[in-house]
Amino acid sequence: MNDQRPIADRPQDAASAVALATVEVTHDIGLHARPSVVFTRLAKSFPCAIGVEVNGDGVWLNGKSIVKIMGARIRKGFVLSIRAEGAAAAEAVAALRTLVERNFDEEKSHARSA
Amino acid sequence: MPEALRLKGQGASPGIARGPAYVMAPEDGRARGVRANGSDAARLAEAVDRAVEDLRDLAGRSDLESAAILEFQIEMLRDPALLEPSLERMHRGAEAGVAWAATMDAYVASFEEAEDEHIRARGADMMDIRQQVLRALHGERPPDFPQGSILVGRDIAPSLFLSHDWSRGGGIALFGGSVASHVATLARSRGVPMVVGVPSAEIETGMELVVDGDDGVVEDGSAVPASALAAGRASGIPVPIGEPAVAADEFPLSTADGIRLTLQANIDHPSELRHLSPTNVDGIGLFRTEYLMASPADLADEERQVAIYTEMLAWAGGLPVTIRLLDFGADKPPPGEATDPSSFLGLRGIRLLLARPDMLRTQVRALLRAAPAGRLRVLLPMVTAPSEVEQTRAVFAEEAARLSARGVSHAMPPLGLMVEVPAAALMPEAFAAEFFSFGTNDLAQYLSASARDNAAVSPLYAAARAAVLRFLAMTVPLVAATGRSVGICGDLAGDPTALPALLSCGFRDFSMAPRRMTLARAALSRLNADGSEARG
Repeated sequence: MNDQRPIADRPQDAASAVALATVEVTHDIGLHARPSVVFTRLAKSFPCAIGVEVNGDGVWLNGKSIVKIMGARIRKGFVLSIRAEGAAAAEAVAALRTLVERNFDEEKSHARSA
Repeated sequence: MPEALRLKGQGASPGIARGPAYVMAPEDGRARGVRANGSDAARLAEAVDRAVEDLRDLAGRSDLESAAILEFQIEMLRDPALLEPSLERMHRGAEAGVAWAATMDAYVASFEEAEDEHIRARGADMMDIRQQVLRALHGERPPDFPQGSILVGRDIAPSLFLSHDWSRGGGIALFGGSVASHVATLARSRGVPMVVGVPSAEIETGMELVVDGDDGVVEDGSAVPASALAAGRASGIPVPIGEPAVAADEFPLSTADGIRLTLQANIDHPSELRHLSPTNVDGIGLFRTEYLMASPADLADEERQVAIYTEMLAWAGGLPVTIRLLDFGADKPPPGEATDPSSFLGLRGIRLLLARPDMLRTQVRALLRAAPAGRLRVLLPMVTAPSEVEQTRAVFAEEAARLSARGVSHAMPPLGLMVEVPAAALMPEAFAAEFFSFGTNDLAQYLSASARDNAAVSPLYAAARAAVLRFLAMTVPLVAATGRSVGICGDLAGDPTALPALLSCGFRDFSMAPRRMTLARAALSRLNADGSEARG
């Protein structure tokens, strides 16, 4: 817990990394059940904290909570800001943005995760 | 040879039972259920885990599309955010099942209110999740004991009594208890011999005991020859539950001078309807719903309540069925909670329901939904002030509006007052109730200031009978003056010796345990409407 090294000597890791992206939802129905499952599962696969803001309303939802994401009633045309903080933040934001752009891989098979 | 055990208590339910003792550990009956937030939260978490496991099993056996739907439910259940409002409710005192159901009800409603059809459709998934977790919570059953046992303990919970199968006999011997307790009422209506106020003694599980509910004696069975028992049985054998309460040709009932009376049944459990024919009674005068609730999960299970009430209304055909709102408190704590003897003068009946509206709202919705199936009436227990009826009516109106919004069929039943508190009996015109029904057990308790679960004051409770009858003679005309119907559903109605006085008070509608009906019917048909003897 108590890192005794001088700040300049600490590794440039996790805690300081922040990434942000904005993406418009083009899926016809929006983030209904299955897209929410896919989105939050992908978010949970990253170690960083992930927030989602809907239409710039200033409220950051936990991107790993399907209850929060479903609760936002995200529909076609809504603009999502995805913000990650911590390890692999840039990768997380990129992956999630791509997922939204790809319409949550909806046209692919309903692959089950084991 | 050691001196044979012979303990003198007080008979609470007649008849003689013989069998091996089952000594109830203190944590078994009502003493169990010290509530800790941690344990409630753990129970709910465990139920959620079990529901998730079941869903995974199911998903593994399902086609891909079904599995995707199940995956959605699994993800919802695994999200800690879903549990948060339940945890908060539990911190404020709600039971796990109640907290969960209330949380999910609000959540389901939030989906159903959505404009977007796809989001509205998810409401059904949420309802599905709600029921799965409740079913997992349901897995917990109260302790039971071998059939045919003589149950020995300080006291016994009504729900334990009702969850036990008494068809192979058995009896009850209590060191505490009271003849006027609800379990005693249950034991009498089921023909289970029971003795209360037994002096404490060393009794071990398995020891042969005889419970003599006529004389109020508990004896070492090995010292009582079977022949003595046979002789005893001649006097006090209980009426078998299966015996028809009323012969069809004696129906309908009227007094010797031709005034029509109604005789309704007090029911504690829907299974009692199997032994009762709707052609021989004028309906159900009192259905005590609290005995349905063996666990907190039962309380929250709206669908189960709808099914039970609907079945009861269907059984009755067009006859009235009076269902009493959950009457918890004092000797009947909500499932999973400890008894609170002080609450005889505290949070009981409607007071408790209004203080903890989650369980009230679930029951109200179930009643509203069942109402179209027959002639439902709803009785409010322990009403003291007019505002309590108004608040309850408001809850009915709110839930009815929600059901309308969801397109769920329902109907508003008439609300009645269970007259148990003297203050309410004296002011009937102040209450916006559609009917009145006197509950004499509690009325006697409050008039005599004698707790009916306290064996030390049970003689005082019994001695108040004359005062209770005079009180009824004074207050029944006050109710009659309001122009609304008035009945009686307390133990007094099933006591043939009280019937002349009750007739002279003005009662025409009686409700009692089914096994009391034969005697009551015979007594009533020999009396004039003013209570005088018709013969001679």
